[in-house]
Amino acid sequence: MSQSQQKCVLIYDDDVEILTVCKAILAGKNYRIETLLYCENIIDDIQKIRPDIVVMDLWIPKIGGENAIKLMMENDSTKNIPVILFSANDEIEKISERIHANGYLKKPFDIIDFKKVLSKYLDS
Amino acid sequence: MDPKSQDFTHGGNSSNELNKLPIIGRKMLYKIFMEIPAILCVVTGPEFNLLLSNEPFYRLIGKKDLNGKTMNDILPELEGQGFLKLLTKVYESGVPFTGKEFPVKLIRESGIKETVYLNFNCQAFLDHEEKLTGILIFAYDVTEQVVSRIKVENAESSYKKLVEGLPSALFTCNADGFIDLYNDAAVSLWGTTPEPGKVEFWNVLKMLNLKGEPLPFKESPMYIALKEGRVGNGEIMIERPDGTRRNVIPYPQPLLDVKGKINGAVNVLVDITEQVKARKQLEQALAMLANLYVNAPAFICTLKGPEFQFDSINPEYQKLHGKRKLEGRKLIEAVPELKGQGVFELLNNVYNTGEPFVVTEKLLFLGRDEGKEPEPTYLNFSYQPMYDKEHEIDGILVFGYEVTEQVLQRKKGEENLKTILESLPQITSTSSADGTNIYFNKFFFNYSGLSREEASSTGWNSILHPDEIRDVLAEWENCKTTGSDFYKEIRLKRESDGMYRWHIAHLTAVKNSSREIVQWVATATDIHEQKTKEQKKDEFLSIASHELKTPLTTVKAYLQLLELSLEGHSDELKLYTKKAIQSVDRLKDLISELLDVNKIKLGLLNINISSFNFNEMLDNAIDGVKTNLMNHKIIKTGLIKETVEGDKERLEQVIINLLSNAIKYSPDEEFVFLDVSLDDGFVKVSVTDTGIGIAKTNLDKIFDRYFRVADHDIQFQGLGIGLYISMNIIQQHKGTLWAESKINKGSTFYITIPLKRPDSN
Repeated sequence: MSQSQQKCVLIYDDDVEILTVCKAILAGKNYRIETLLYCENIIDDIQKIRPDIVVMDLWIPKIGGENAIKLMMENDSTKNIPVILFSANDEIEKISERIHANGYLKKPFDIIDFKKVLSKYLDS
Repeated sequence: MDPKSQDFTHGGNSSNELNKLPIIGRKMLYKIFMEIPAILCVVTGPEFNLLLSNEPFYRLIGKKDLNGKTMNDILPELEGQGFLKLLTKVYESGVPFTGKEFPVKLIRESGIKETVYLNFNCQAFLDHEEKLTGILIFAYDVTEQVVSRIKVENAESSYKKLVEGLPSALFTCNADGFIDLYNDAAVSLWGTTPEPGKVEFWNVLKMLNLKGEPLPFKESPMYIALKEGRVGNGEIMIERPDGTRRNVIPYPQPLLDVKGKINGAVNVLVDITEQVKARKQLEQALAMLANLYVNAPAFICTLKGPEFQFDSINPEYQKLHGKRKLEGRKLIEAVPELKGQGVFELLNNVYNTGEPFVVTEKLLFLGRDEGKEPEPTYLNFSYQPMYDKEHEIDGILVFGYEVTEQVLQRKKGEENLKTILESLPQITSTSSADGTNIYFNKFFFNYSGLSREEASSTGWNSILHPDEIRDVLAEWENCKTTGSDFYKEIRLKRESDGMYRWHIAHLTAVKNSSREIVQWVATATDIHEQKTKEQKKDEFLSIASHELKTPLTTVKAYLQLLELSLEGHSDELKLYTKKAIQSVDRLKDLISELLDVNKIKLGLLNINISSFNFNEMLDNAIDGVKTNLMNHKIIKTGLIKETVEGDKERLEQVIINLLSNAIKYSPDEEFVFLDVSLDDGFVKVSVTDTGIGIAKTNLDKIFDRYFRVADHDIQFQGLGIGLYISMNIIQQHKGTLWAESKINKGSTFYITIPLKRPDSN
């Protein structure tokens, strides 16, 4: 499969270890995986990386994951990209509803659930 | 009891004792005790033994010779009428009791319960050791007035009854003195039945004078009437054939023929034996009263006329006024310092209205000797009207005792208490039963910066936080109606820096022995530092649990990757990995619980309501604990077909918590039971184990935060907050959660929640 056909996952988390393990989980999948530690330039990031799905942590320094998603939703060129929240925050379900995310995962998550939810949007 | 008065109750030489009393004459005692048309009796001891009583009392109850007997023996019919309870109350509290038109049912000679109405006053008196020893009861029979007022009885029939009830022996004799006619009453008086026309009246039985000497028949009133036509009477005694003597007053009347010549006489004999007996008893009773009068540690005096002239004074009364001469002087002249102390107004009122006056702990300023500086004196006393023969008020009887020492001692105690309150480093105030502010301590003024006037008008209101004032005042109103305590964390404004600081406020009602609120005591303790620290701790906990979950996420993910990469390797390796994952899950649950507790504290634990299949939720919960099962089997019974409105995840958390506990606390058992049923719109779930059980004393506490039954500490793990969280979740579902348990038999936990949310239709 050529690189252009490869689906792209963009993961935001301020914890490097989380990003690393996510890459490991998805290693067997034929996805292009991009990871970022900061989310304040989300529109630029998306335009540069062109992901098929965004996975966003909530507690990220500076503007935070929720505000980043809001920016993305307000921008016509990015608002149709599916968004999955993942966080240790217990309010994740509510926040997910509030900002109309496509799904959420409570940390610590089960890797099977993680793969399932991505697969739902990427492997159709 | 005072030994002197005991001598007296035995009685023998009463007249001697009477003669020894110079202060009060026999005549005066008569007035006080007998001629007041009032019932007077003195009872002693907790059983109310009758010490002495007067004729009106006997008349009232229709019985005699009762001294020494208990009230209950004398008047068993009083049982359940509340009167003995009243006496007990007076006896125990020392507080006098005054009753008006108090109905009492008595069984008198007729054997039928009769209702009499009494105005009465019960006054306890003290012995030398200041102990309550008895009660003086004054009463007025107002039955007639009451009865006539309510027009229950008609005057004519009561008059007839009176006439029928009059005992009178009647006989006639001819000119020679031979007995002619006589009636049944005469027969029973004489004790013999003479043959008409055969016996002279002086030969029917012996006549005696009052000294007991034979009375020559020619000196008898009947003979004088018969022979001389003179009508005279006077008390005589007759001796009956059986030797008993009766006191009688003869009322003879000559009978004249048409020519005006005496041809016989008629005689009415009034038997006054009982009266004479009673008179003798009276003398004894009077002697005892005299003793009481002199030796009782109560003051008694009589004031004559509208100017309140001292008439008789007992030694105890004299003590009130030192060596001053009182007898014969007007009150205002003998005790001029009473002017302006309200005493004369009270006396005038009693004198004019006849209403007795009773007061406790009345403060009067009395000079102990003439010309001496008046001293504060506390007295318990009563003013009773005294009546003359025409039933007109002609004086006042003063009865009471001094309680200065007791009152001052108590006041000193109150003063000490106030000093303590003043020095407390806590806001403290008191208010009356209706909430009127009475007292604020120094700390209140320092903290609030309010003046005394501001404090007494606004009280706490001006320092309450605007966000809390409405709730606090509403709750305070509730306390006033229910009498319950108030215990709440509130913010109060500090004057020095304008800061609202957290306090724990405690308001509690002080109640008297009748459970009536006497006053309210409010305190507030500054807990601002503790509260702030706790908030910081809560915040820390919230961040910490979030931070802990991040590395846990990677640990769990790597372990799962490891598990997947072990395909084809030994089962042992796979088991180790599985165990590690289970441990990570438990760690995750523990961290979640910590966070939940924190949310409950901050009021942030929210539930998300949806309609769901309750049965499915239960099965999920059972699956959820299966990984933790040791050797247990979960036996599920019952079925709910209806969908339930609630937070599916939170309820599953509760069921998992109860099942995990049941497993944890029955380590050697095989089964845990789960039952579900529908009961009147409520879903009821019970989780039963047959394990170690919970002691009754701990049963209420298990739902507390961090409570863990101490006995289990070493043996069993867990933070002990699961039940606390479960309780909160069930409460948010408007349901109930409770437990029943027996040590070494096991426990059952019950949940009920409404099928539908109460606020939804």
